[in-house]
Amino acid sequence: MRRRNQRRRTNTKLEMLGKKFPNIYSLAGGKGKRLFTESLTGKESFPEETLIRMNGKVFREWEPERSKLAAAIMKDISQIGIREGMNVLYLGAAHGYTVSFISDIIRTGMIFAVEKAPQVVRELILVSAERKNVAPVLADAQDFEELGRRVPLVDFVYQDIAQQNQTEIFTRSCRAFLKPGHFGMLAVKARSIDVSRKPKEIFNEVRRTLERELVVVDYRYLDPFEKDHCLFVCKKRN
Amino acid sequence: MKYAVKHYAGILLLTRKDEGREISFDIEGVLAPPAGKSPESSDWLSWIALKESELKKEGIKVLDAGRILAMEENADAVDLAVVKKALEEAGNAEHLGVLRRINFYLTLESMRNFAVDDQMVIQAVAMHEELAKVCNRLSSRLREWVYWSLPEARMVPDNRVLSELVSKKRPEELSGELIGRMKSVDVSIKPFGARPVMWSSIQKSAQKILELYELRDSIEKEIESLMENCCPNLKEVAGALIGAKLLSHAGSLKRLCSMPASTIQLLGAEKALFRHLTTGARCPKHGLIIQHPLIASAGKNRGKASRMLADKIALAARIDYFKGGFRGKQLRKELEEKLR
Repeated sequence: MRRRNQRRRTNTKLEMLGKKFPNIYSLAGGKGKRLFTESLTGKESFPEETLIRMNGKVFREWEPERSKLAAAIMKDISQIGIREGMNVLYLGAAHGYTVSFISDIIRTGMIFAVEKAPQVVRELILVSAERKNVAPVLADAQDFEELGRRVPLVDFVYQDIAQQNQTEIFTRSCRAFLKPGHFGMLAVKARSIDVSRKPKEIFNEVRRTLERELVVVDYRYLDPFEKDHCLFVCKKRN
Repeated sequence: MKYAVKHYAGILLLTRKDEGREISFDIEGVLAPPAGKSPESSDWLSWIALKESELKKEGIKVLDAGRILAMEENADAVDLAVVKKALEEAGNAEHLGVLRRINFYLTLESMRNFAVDDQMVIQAVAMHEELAKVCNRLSSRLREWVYWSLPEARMVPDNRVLSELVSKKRPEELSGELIGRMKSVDVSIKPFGARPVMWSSIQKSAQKILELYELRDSIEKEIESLMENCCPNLKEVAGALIGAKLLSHAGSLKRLCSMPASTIQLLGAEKALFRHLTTGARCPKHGLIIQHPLIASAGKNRGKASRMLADKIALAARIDYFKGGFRGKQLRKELEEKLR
């Protein structure tokens, strides 16, 4: 069971999270921080989402247990680099949970959501059908020839794929698709790089690899939301 | 997959060849519902019909919403990469919308091709495994229940036979029959005077359980015929059910055929393998393939046998994926000779 089922509040107050986090809101008061974005569709996108209605707008709750990006924001990452109007390349979109929130944030931009497993693309297509800024791409993130044909240059690259060579895939896609001076974000799952080594060692190594090409702006371990995960925010050099 | 962008009768279409005919998508949204109309409304359907007749005059046939069969032969084709580049240079939101629609239709189209045999096998195997679990749990529950009225039921060790007997017979005759099966019983004492409690519910449950067993059987038969269709070699070497389980573990025939034999040997023994890797415990010899009769009969040579079997399974899977004809009998014969 999800914790909070469709509880609709009327007299709650949402506040902007800050200048570095445009279009992301947090709930004032109460215990702990809860994240919200304004729904682009005016309704929920996934079953059992918590909605808040305020001033005629509908806000959806963004759960850090389900989205690594939300988890990183909860752990006070310094910035995420996603702004309204940006075009985003999202590698490893899965069902489209995080995709739907990035779609809420960028609003007029476009997300190219790449996923290779047809089983989850079934749901990703539904997300895309009701959001005009999500383009589903059924392709392997490692298949650069195919991606090159289907994805344009973008302002932001987000990658969350559990592959052994995920760091390499990320640097390659930043090289190919990211505009210089723009941000990229990499969610690393230590367990899929090497199960037998310590996660911290792996994260350090990933960081060194990333710094060869990119500037690592910030990183956060995602405990307690995700075990042995780390999220890196990088900037491509000009 | 080869696709290109073409102009047909003034409409920009994304086309690709599909079994000789050309299927296209309307990427500018000519066939999209007009503003304010939902795709489910009858207005939209009549609107599509109107568009359809307009397009027919131009020599274009609408298959279903957004899919078009283009008849015209000599339309000017452009490579998708070129279109993408042009769109990128133009750079405004509308063009990104076109790029989105291209991706949408390409994704939809490849989704259609994914509901193929190996995926059906995988779904069926998952159902089969789940049913086996449920059958076992339910019948041990039934057994527990029956024992109160009919302790003699212990004489029937097989769950399925027991549910069959219970569903068909009255408790008195069942009791007599079962006591008859026991050796040297002092009938004059009649130790198990059956006093059936809630027998009709017991009987109904037994019937349902029996039905579940039958469902499992029919799914198993279905799996066999599916396997015969999509991977005959794998079926011959590994057996239908084990082959299907390997498929479901690997995720698809494509992935199974790209696995090395040593991986196939340990499919299903991941826990033991990771224990071996992290703590240095002993390495597992076999995963799913332990259920194979050749390994069960190999005795002390199980490690060797499972390695050989995995080799042949890997070969068979590759023959099946690349549609290389039927060599299963030969593979199996080689294996049996080696293991003799």
